[in-house]
Amino acid sequence: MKRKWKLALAALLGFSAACSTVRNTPRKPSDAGTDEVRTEVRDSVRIRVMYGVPAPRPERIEREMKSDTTQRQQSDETPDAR
Amino acid sequence: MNGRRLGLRKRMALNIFSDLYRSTVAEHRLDTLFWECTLRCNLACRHCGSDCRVDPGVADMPLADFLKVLDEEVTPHVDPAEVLVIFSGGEVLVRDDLEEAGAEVTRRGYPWGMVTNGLALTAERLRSLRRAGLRTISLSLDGFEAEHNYIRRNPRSYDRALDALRAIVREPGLTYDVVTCVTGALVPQLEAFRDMLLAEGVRSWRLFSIFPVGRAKDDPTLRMTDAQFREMLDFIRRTRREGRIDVSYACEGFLGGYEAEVRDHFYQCAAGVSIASIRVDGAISGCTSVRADFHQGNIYTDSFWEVWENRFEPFRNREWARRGVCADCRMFRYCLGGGMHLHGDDGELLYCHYHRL
Repeated sequence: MKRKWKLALAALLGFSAACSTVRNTPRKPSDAGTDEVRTEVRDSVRIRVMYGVPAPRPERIEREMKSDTTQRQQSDETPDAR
Repeated sequence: MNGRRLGLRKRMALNIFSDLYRSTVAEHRLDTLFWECTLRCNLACRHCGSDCRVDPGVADMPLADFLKVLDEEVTPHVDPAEVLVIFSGGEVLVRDDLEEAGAEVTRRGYPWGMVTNGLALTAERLRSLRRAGLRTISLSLDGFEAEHNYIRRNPRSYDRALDALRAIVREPGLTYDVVTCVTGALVPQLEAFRDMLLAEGVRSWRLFSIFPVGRAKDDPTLRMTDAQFREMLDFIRRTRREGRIDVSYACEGFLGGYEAEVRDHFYQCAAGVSIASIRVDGAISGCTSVRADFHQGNIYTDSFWEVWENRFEPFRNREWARRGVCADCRMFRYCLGGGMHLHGDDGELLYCHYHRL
């Protein structure tokens, strides 16, 4: 709870993003079965290090993007009902 | 002196961050694993901190050895989807088995990426790497032709890197950015260079200053003056506000009043906290920019996971860095002595970003 208050205060100060790398650390597999709610993995909080690379977009988002593109293509190809 | 000034709001936020970061360090959850798969390179860049060359005298690590560590030491303790594997060099494209390596890492559930100078990255090779699961890539482009070729010491390097960039930008679904080592010669051209990148479709860009290690150590032509360094940071701040391109300064160095204005996050050195590397000779360390001997073990004699969990003390407790210029510095609580890669073998700080402001 104390951690959440600190993060909330950082957000009030306008530095929520700057503090993003210490937020909502996902559990290790060994923690499975605890009562703690598993928080969402956020690739965006990964630091891009000196000789490193940007975090890849989550595959879920890539699948959604592909799905949106496919749906738009199908919609364009479908003739009007009339 | 103005660049050093922390306003009250930012100072309060930094205090909160420093407090929270202690728990991040205590947890040391691995989220990035570098594999230094080669020290061979198809260039001999002036600024190379790794002193890479065509024949470095050090053999590539066999892929099987790295995969063994993944299978036996890392996978049992992590969710592979949450650990980004980065192939590092040298120039990783010199490895003929790079696609095999990528496919094996992908098969095990790890996302992977690589950094390249682009000299050997044809459109065909890029497609081949994508089929092997490449998810993210950084391309080095150190200015316009004269500046880039001067640093890279190859008259074809700029054209090849530009061709590689165009292939990368056009590749659907590939995360990428351009990384630029900024020298004094490039500072007056940053606006024009930014516009060129925008015209090429680039939307993500990182700028580095060159730190004095390896071949860069004694080359004054690679350095910026303090005034140029501030000018570069002002440029980044201004460009971020424009919103046309996601530009940031590299992860290194506490930047005082520029904190949270030239990067997405407050300064932190994640080496040994969430980042580990397996070096070409098997040494286990933080990120591959750390060239000094802060090795914590070796995969050929130690358990990687045991080392990750129980060693890395110099990376996770930086009190040893409270010496020299850091001894009485009020910013130490925020910078913890700066990036690990900015310390020599004896622990001496090679240079301080904050004092350049």
